[in-house]
Amino acid sequence: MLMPKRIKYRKWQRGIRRGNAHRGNTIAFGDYALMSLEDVWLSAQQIEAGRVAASHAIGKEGRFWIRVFPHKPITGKPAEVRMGGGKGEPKFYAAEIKPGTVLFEISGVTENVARQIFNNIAHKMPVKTKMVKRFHTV
Amino acid sequence: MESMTLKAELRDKKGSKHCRRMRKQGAIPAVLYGHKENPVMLSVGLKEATKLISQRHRLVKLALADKTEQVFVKDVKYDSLTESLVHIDFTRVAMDEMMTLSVEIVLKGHPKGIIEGGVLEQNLRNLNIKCLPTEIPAKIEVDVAPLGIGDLVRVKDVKLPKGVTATVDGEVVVAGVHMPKEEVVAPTPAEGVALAEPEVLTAKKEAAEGEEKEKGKGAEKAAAKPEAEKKPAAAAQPPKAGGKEEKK
Repeated sequence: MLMPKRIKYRKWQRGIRRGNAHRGNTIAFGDYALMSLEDVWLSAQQIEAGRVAASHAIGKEGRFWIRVFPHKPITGKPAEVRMGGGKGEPKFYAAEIKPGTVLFEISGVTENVARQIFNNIAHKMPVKTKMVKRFHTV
Repeated sequence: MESMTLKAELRDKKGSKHCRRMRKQGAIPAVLYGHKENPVMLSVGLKEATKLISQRHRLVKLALADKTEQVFVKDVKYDSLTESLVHIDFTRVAMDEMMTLSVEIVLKGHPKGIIEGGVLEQNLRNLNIKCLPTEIPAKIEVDVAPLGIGDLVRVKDVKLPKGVTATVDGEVVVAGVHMPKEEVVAPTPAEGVALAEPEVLTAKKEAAEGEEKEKGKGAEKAAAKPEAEKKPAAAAQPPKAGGKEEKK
């Protein structure tokens, strides 16, 4: 599973997920991409589930990119623990996703195959997604 | 490439509020600048502009209220979520002046390396070229059909139309066919086993500072100890002597 190698602080503040994605919102490597339409903390486990779903379908045919990385440590308190006693311990790492963030990219496959692969991945994602394809720009 | 005519209107209101209202009414903001003349704020129809861009027109006859001007589509902005046009930049052009621009590279053909199990990878998607406005190509086609595994197409190998020169280094790779890389999967930890925690950079400093403090304290203690040991010994001697004397 993806996880940062080194971090500055063990525990982060939660932050805000207001607005749309202003970076990481265009196709950079492949021909087709899966774009998030909602905001979420996408955990490393969910990213891994997407990768596994894609690798089963792609095989050795095309290329696959993961465009998000779980940088943010998410803390939580254990079950049946009373409030207080300070902030909980880091439970997992997550990527902050905003509407418009490109999650995964594919190249070297036809549009129909890409759509099928992204459909498989979308089932593993906790947000609504859509497939986008590279189009001509000036 | 033939130039298309696009109707445009001058606009006097600027700012995000007015642009948002304009987009709701089916028009998009645009701007015309260049050739040491004052920039002009325009508005163009969204449908017409989208058609123009999708058909890869770069030279446009801009029909303003009183005159028609030959302009070049310099930049286009899209909304990343809806993929609709948001803004267009036009520049004035002189038809006898060389200009630099970026043109899309389109790969043509099915490489024979793919049949042998390879993967086609396109490294360069747009090529920077220099040409006259009358000779702007809509796209540059690159034939990749003869590529086997390990073969590359470089910029110097690309056949450019007459009057067009590439402004990038000839050795830059456009596309290539290679064997697919085997995916390296990180080992997943067994259930119930905690993940190895990443290195915490600030914790290191604190630990180092703590060690230093402890060392400092230790040194102070070590320095203080002999004195303390000496002092009691020195202090103890007279009474001892006294004691002895007393005993005596």
